[in-house]
Amino acid sequence: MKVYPIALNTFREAIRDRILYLLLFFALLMIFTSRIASLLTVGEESKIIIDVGLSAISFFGVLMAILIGITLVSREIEKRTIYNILSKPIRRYQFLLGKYGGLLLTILIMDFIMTLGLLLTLYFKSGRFELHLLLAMGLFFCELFIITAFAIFFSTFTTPILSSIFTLAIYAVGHLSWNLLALKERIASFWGKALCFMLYYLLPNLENFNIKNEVVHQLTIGWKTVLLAIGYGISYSVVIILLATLIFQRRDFV
Amino acid sequence: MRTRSLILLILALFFCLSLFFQLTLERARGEALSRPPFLYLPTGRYIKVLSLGYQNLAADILYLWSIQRYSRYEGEHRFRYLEHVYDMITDLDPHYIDPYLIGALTMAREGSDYERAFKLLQKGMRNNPDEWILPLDAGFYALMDLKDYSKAIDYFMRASKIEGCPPEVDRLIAGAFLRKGDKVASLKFWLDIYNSTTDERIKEVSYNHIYDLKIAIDLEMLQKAINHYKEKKGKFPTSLSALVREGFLKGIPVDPDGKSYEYDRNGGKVSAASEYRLRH
Repeated sequence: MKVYPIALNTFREAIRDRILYLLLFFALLMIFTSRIASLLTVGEESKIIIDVGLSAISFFGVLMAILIGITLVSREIEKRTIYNILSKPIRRYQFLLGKYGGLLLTILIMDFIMTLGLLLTLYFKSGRFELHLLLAMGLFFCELFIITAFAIFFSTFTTPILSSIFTLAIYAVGHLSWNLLALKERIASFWGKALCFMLYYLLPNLENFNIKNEVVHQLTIGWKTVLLAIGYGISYSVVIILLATLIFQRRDFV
Repeated sequence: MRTRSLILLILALFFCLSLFFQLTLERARGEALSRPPFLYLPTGRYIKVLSLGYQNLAADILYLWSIQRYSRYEGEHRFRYLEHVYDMITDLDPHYIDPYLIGALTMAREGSDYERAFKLLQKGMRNNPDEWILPLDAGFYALMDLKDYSKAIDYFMRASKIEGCPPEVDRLIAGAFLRKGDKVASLKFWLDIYNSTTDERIKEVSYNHIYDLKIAIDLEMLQKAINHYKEKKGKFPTSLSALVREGFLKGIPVDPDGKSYEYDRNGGKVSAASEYRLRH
């Protein structure tokens, strides 16, 4: 139960951050103006709105997770409030879990607002709520489990600037890691193949959560795929949070 | 108050300056239009990698750009990279149907490159086997522009087998068979349309086609038998019933109104007593 008050406080702290609203404003602006961009196309206008909208939600959602996530722990250290917190009967993993939960709650609410913006834009265009988009948003939220976990992980041992660079790099690598399998096929050496194989399974594969294409074209998505992706998101995040806890426990705040 | 005015003045000055830069840039860009618009355009495969999961958005941006570019009738080598541009868009989003249609339209009607247009539409068909619009579109180009009726029939047949395809495609197939010269196949399709439709107007149109085709097929068959008779016997038959009697025909058909065909024994020509409904 000690996790809950920390999560609630983290949430309260995060929603006071102006950068969050700035990002939300730009995301909503991009979603609403996609209606204008759609007028330039020949053919399906809704497709442009959905693509721009999903991309805006995904891009700004990741930025929110990174920019807020990296400061959560470091700010406590910088303001020395961590001494007060850790002097209480709170375990360090509880502290990190609370931070993680609070941040996820903040991002969930922001994602909800952005998704609502997209659904309303589409409603004014086509007169119906495209609820099938919620599945893409759900899986995208699972991707944010991992991104947020990495943001907190890096913030436990490095500066906010470096944390943001590292997390952004993880985001890029996570969407590129599938290339490692293709690279493995082209490499002749055994060790090269082994390295590619190992890196592929070690690094997060964020493409598992990318079903934008399927959702936009209303292609069939198997429940098995969705459930496996959710399972992957949760288990990978647990690994990263555990790693963050290990590092955080070694830090000396006394 | 003075400071505020000064700030406003500087602001206006810098705004004018930015406008000047903008206009100069636009002029410079105008000159650049005569040069090739892009020197390096990577393939869709590379952009897919670089798009970090935003390949749908990348496809949309490229598609919107391509529409703006190809709707302007300027630039010397406008169509040089057409195939590459639409390949890239459809590599990024293989299920996006509009680029296949618009790309093929631009290639065929603007660039007169039908081979590439068909190639793009075939790629679309491979990636989207459930979309009837792609083979239908290819069939239209083959029928209307290339007058390649066999190709048109192939594409229309392909479209007609896909769920959701409008029944009008059967009329296109029947028409293409007729233009190809295969009246029997055309008649078969018009009969199917006649039997399956509930629309009175379509029923009437298909009946008129059936009526004309039946006469044309009968006349062809009779003329062929007469000519065959002439080859064997060295003279024209005295009547059409002579063809049946002597085994050149199984029976004498009558036209859809039940009238007998007219036969000119001197010239060996057969003709219809009724008038064609659509062709005269």
